[in-house]
Amino acid sequence: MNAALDVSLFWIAFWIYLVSFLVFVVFFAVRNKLPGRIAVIIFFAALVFHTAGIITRYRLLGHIPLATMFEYSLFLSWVIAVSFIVIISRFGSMISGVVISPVVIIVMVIASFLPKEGAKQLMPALQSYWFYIHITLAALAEGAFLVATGASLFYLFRSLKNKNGFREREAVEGLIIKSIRIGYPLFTVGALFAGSLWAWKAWGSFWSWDPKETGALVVWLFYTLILHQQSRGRWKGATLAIVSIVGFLIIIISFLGNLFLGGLHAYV
Amino acid sequence: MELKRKKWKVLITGRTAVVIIVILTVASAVGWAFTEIIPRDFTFHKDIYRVRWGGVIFSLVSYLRLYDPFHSFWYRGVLAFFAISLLLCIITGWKALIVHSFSFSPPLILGKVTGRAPAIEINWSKLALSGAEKKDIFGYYKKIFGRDIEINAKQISQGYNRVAAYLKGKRYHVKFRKTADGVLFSAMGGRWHYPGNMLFHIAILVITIGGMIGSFQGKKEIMYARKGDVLTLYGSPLSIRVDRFNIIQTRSGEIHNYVTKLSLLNANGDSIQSMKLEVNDPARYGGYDIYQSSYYVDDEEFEWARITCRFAKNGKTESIYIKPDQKTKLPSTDWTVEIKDYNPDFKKGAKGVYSSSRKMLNPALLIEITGAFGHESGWLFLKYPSFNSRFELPVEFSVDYIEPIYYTGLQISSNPGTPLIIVGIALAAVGLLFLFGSSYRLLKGEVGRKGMFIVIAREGGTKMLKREISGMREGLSDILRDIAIDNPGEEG
Repeated sequence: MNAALDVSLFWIAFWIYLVSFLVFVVFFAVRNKLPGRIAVIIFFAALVFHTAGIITRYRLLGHIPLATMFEYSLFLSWVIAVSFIVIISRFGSMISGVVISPVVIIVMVIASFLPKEGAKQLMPALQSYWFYIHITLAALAEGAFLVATGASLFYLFRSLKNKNGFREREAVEGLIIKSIRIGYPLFTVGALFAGSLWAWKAWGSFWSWDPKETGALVVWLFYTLILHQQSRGRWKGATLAIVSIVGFLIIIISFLGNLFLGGLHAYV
Repeated sequence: MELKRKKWKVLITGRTAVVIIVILTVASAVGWAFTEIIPRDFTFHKDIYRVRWGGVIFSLVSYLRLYDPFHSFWYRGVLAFFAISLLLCIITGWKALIVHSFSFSPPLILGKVTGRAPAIEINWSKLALSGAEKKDIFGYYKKIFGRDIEINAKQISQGYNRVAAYLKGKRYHVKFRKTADGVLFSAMGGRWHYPGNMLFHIAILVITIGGMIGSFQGKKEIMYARKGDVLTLYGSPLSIRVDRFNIIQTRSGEIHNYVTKLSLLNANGDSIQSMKLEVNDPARYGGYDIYQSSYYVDDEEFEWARITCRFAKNGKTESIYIKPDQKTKLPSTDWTVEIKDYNPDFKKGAKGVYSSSRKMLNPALLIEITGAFGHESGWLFLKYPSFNSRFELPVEFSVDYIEPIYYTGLQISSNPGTPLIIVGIALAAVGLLFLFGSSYRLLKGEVGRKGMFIVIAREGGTKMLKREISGMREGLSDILRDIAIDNPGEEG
């Protein structure tokens, strides 16, 4: 199998996602269902290539491709894309395509800048079942948070255009809250707890204040804050959208942090 | 515990919780930034930084421990404040959360509710109506009940049973109280939501305490040892002996694993247990955790070398394995071979032979052959065999391999907070399951002579509940319609 095939599939998926996003924009502008349906079909086609890329990489490397930041980004964008398919199939909300497709593209753009080489042999520290639990759950959680971010951007964009509110306001706000409520327990269990237990088994300490760990703690505290404010009936509407975007920025700093800051997660 | 003093009650409000989370988030973010801003060699070169930064900044960095902020007094103080606040919330909140979730009771009267609370109002008279007027039966609770049609006790009871069955079908727990006018009831769904919330808070407290115990009382030591070395376990009469250390490689030469075999020794030096360590698979004994942490290669010494001897007489070759300071007999002869010197990075200068680095860049062995002829010695080069010394013997020597000395890196740690952290993580996982897996709903209502009325008694601001109660209108009016339409006002 061609070693660059997985990366080629990734690029094909990227360009198709981009086309899908443009068609979603047309759908949003003309408010006609036809371009919306076309956009969904194109998005689904991109997801097929995306999935094929991940499977190909798995076949090439012989292990689930989650060991490098490129692979993680690839999986994260895949999670976000799948979440759109779930939303569209369950709620039929084509407007969420306008929200989610740019998030998929942003994550893939980030992935495109990362080193794409993969190692067939996982380094000894990564040869653990915790590797799959920790990273998969963290990616699912961050995917949910990024869906909330996409919805937040859309919310703010629409709010600025329509000062008196807009038609999808309640649905979009509901998507932000639901995404955070899905992401939070996954992040707590996957990123923090599974990570701590794995660190205990591999490094002999639950917590080492490594840059990635501290970043994850700040992310968790920030989303804990959002949920507390939600339970108190605060941070609704535009405020919720803004703090959700701030959460995304913290995730990005945490995500890319170890590229520049080193630490125990530096190999990822 | 009852908090009587009002000023203490401020510690258990939702606002205080939010403020503490904000402080902890900011403190963590600040600590995160400072660990990167302050150079990592700060503690080793304090004098240099004192001059470079000036006294004030240096003192500030030292006093606030900004080079290691997460072990500073101010960060630990924030953590302690967080833990105290959590503890107070748990102590004062358990009654409201747990008891309320399990021992809810039907209302004595249908209390005052605000006009904004979503409600269902169905009166018997309007159920009996048909056509376009039916659409009006779902008015808000404030709307005055319609025409007063008497309905008997049996029909009320039947109506309540149907309502209760309907609510139970929607996974509500229903409790009722009969009054002279009808049946008052409460219905609660998602009863595990708040206990889950409480459990999660307790778990976070337990984890925080466990973490703080580990931070203050935990010990960690990384030691390097080669085969045969004995290491003492700190604070214990026990020790461990390294029996073997292997770096396991794949066929393509990539490192697959590091494995150390150890013996646990008692105070007399007797082996009491064998242990095998691998990455991700530590050994535990008596509160000590022993990890395969890393390894170190010492190129300055070597474990053994393989030397090949080619006999000129018959062209036969023999390989011998020689350890440092050990005479080895050369096969088919009466000679012995001994290594007299070793340089990992051989260089020859004006002052003679030396090693220009500590790395095995140009390893060379000085061997001495002893026999009836006397002694003969010469250098053998691993990477450049053409430079090997020529011996006045009918044998050619070359070195094929030199095994460096591998030291296994063992981390020996003890953390008394470990059990708390593990219990905390388990509790938190269960708590999260309940907290996010169930949605709390509390409804109160009455089935009486005028009709049925249900209102959201505890509005969590959930749109979901509003949607649910909206859906109930249709279902409930359907199940009640039979009673009212079939037997309006008829005594049973």
